[in-house]
Amino acid sequence: MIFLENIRLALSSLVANKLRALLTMLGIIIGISAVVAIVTVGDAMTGSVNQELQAFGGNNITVGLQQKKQPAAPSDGKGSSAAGADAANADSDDPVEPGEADLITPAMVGEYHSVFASQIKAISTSENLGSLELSNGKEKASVLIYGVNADYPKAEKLELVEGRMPTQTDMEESRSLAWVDEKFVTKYWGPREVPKNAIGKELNIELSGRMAKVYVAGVYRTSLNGGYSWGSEDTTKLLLPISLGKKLAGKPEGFNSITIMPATEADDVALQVNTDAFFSSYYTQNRHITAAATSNESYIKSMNKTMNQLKLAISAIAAISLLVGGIGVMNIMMVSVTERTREIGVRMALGAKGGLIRFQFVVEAIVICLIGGFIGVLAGIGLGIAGSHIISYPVRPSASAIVVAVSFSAAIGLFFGWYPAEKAARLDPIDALRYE
Amino acid sequence: MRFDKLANINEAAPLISMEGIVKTYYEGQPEELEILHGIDLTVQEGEFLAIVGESGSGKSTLMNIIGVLDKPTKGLYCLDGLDMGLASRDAMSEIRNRKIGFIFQNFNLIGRTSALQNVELPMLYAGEPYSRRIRKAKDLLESVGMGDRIRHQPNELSGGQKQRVAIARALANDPSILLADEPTGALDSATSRIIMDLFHKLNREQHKTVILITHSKELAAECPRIVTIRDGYNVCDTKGAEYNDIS
Repeated sequence: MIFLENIRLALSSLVANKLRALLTMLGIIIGISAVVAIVTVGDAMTGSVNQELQAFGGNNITVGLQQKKQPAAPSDGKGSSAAGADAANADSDDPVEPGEADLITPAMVGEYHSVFASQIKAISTSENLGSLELSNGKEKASVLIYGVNADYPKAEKLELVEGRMPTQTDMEESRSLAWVDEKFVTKYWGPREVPKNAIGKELNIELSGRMAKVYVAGVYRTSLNGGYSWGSEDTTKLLLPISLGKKLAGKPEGFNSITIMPATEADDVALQVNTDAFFSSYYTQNRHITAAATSNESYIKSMNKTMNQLKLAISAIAAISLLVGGIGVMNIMMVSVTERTREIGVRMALGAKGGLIRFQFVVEAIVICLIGGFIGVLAGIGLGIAGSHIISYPVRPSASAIVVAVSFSAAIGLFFGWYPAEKAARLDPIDALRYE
Repeated sequence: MRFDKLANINEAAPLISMEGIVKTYYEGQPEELEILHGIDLTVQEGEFLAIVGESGSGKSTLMNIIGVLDKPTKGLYCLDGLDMGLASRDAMSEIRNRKIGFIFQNFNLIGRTSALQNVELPMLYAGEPYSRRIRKAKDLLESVGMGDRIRHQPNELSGGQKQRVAIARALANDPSILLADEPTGALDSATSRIIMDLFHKLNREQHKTVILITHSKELAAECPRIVTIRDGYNVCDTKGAEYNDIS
């Protein structure tokens, strides 16, 4: 009862001093809206970066060949550090290209697959076989020719538009098939051509001087939304079965790199470590070259960490604004207590105990802060949504941030309202009644 | 009620019993100032008395002690048989709430709050439920002739109307004493008459104890009993009829 009465009193005193109340709230509004907006925009940025990295193959593990770090050059006994440094420089100035014998063999991949089968979704192998300009007399289209295996579309998140995706049989039989981007269809056969009609069409390609006929078996679409592209808009990838591609281009059977897509339930970090150990074990005898597994996962994690630190830092600045706002509330409450000294005296004469007077002013301070907090939350949501649209990754404002912000503003009211309220509660009724 | 536990409960005691009341300000400090030097006063229930004195005579200090806003430095003050010297700050609030109805010279209504809510306030502090508060506040406003202005705020009322609302508010918790401090000091003579008639009526019809603090001899003269304070001593205690002769 008294609580509701106090809220009514607080509201009526706010209404009576609208401008003053608004100015007092401003600090709270700015602080709270800043916190909510920053958290929302921060979520959008993290989400957008993660989305791009995921599309790129966020948790994929790449196994690649790299030059071994050379052990320090054998010293001649004196252990001259200058000589050691020279030797190290000499080594790094002299990169060793992986030769045919150093490549990752299909046998290694097969062995790996059988050991880690439960933890992986796909192993994608691909080989860039060169670029080419195809012409049918009317239109021209430049393509990058890639030899790919059956898991490639899965790992690269390609979507099938028409026809079918490459299969294991296509690989084993080195079938003369090709997969083209939907952009290629309109570019090469004219803008009115639909992907469906492209299926079965013949393409003449030339690799390392050898001519070959391939037939379009499928049209795909890449699901990467602009975040990552491999060249100009006009250049698309033309995919061949890897066995066919290597045969045509006269390339050795092995791979420079393979991409492993972990199963959803797999522990990505452990898999990366194990994969690294597995492949590098084949290279212990190799003098210059080894295979190493790397992943974007750690990159994403450190990115998120940086983002969170940034959020925290900006939130700390917003917290200072809240502190300033709180001091403003305290100041105005002091003014209010002084202005209403006589009223406090009358209330005490009528039988209000000190505790009740304190309660009345604390409630008033909390009401000011909560109204400021609500306005701040609304402004923050607005700013946050606008900001996340600019980043073009719309997110819903974080509910927890809103709850925290609103309760924090109530806490500010309690904290900064307490002292003035206590001052009011301790007034001597006689002095308060006599106050002019 | 907490003050029930206070000592000296005596059923037969007079409403107010003051013995040797001394009030000293700045006690123990160089500027120590004794305002009341030993006031004795006994008031029975249903009396209508005036406390008169020049400004500086100590009558305001006495009023504060009677109204339980302040405590005497020395001496015994029993209100309704309860020793006020033993009451805590919160107990004093409670006693003011239940036993004293204040009426001030400048009305002291709470601003931005309707007449009804002003009258409700002492009952709110007494913890009365909403419906009973509203009913009683309406009845009281009706009884002082303000029944048609219950929604008006103080700034929409004239001085006499404000004072009538203040009287209704003072009556809210059926107090033992109506303590009126210069209640007509800010009013013209016609309005003063209405207010004084209201006090007489309350005293006559409802047997309310009314204590009027004033410096006006004419106002005091119409009270059945007059206590005169001068320089912190009570100098005489007369019946209204004799008062004119003395002064």
